[in-house]
Amino acid sequence: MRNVSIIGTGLLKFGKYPDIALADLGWPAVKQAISDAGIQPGDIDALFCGTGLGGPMPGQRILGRLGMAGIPIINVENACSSGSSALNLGQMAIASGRHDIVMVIGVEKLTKFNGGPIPLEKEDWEVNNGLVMPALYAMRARRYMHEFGLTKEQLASVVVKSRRHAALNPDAQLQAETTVEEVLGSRMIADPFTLYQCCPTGDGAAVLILCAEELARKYTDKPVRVAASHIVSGEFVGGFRDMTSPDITVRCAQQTYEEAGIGPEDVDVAEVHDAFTSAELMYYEAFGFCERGEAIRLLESGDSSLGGKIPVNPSGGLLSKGHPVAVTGAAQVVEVVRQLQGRCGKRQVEGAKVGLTHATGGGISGFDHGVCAIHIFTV
Amino acid sequence: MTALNPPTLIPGANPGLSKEFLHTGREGMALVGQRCAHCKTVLFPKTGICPSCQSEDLSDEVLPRQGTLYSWSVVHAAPKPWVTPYVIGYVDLPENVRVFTHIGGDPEQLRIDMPVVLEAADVGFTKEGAPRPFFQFVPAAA
Repeated sequence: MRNVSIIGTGLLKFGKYPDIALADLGWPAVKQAISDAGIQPGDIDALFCGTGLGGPMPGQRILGRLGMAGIPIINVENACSSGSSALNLGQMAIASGRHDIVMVIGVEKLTKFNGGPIPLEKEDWEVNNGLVMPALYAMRARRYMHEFGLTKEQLASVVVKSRRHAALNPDAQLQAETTVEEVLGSRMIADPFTLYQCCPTGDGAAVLILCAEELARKYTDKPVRVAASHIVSGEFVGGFRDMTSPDITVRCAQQTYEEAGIGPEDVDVAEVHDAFTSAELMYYEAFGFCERGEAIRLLESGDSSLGGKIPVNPSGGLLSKGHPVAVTGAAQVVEVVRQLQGRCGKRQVEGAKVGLTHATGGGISGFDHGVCAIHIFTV
Repeated sequence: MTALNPPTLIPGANPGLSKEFLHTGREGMALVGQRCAHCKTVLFPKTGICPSCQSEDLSDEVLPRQGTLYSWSVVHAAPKPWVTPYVIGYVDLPENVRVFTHIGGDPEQLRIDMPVVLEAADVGFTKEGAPRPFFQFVPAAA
């Protein structure tokens, strides 16, 4: 198997673009990524395009605009991990020797649903009977608060840290710094979560150019190696489940560390799936950045903030950047690749050599999450 | 290979709660799940196939009416036709069955791991605006 590098990235700032077609959200980021990679459009052998809710053939619609269609295009649906699942397939397509240069897109237009929580599958028993994603995370949070003595003020402080990072990121939707009082004073969505503790949705696109490592330096002097690309699905459990620990992420993280041959102590920067405040804390523990029940102490020590030992979500994460379902996984990779290339300006993690991304998708009965995708990158 | 027929229709999530999922006896209403004849796994709601051993040899099982409240949330934002606020939660029944449910009573009185008991209830509304029959758990009388 060949090593794979990322040689180019493109990102459309997440936002509300109700009047722009999905295809037109996609192509500017494609052009940016191609230019960043220093390749020609004709150099791309194949496209893997992730969308969760964008409808049929988003890849064809986007490449059609650019006159680039005709190459193999595979569209990928895997809920909130669609973009990172597309990356996993692109990585395998190069590692196997089938292709040399592959493009990965994550694209989504959620404004077409007119706001509210992300729409879920109505055939599902729990969804049909009133489950919404904020409430599912809220039930996990409440149980965690009960078992580990986490207070609502501590929960709210996750947003304060998120916005502090986002204030340094021109690509974040929500850049204004906030306070615990303001977070708790925003309207209630699913008790104990107030509005600020839930990620905004939005529209957007993120694009990655992957290249066989042995060819990468032809195009760029800053290739970033994909050291591990790993996906697992959730395990169906009809009975008791400990909702204070995200078992799918714990399992996927262990396997991804093994694949990369590193451990949590080696990670310099991480972008994790902080769809809600409690999720970021539980993921500190799932990734081994701290022990079970110690997440709030890691946050309060400053070690998960910029300047700390393991800065988590320097981009502001989902809580401040927003969460256009399929784009999230690819956009996390854009951030981490640019961090490892030293291109992140005021939010740069100094000397970052090892970065990690984590996107997980759910919303079906009996699963913790349905899918978890973790990538590790090195320079 | 013998011809493969579609599984016997078990009313899905969409019709809400039908008599297929409910049992009314002397003790009051109870949920009806399924027990696998092969590995004894109990499941709710019914699916017609055992997730532990893939056996399709399942029989209806009337579930205990009392369980413990694992967690809950008061929902203030939901798509139509839901009317907020409403309370949902997970209740653990004996024999390792976790039920997604609506929770009745005063949410301020709810506590983690408290005993709760089943009762019939209309929750939400159908697309046509009629009350939607379902069930809920409420704190058990002390």
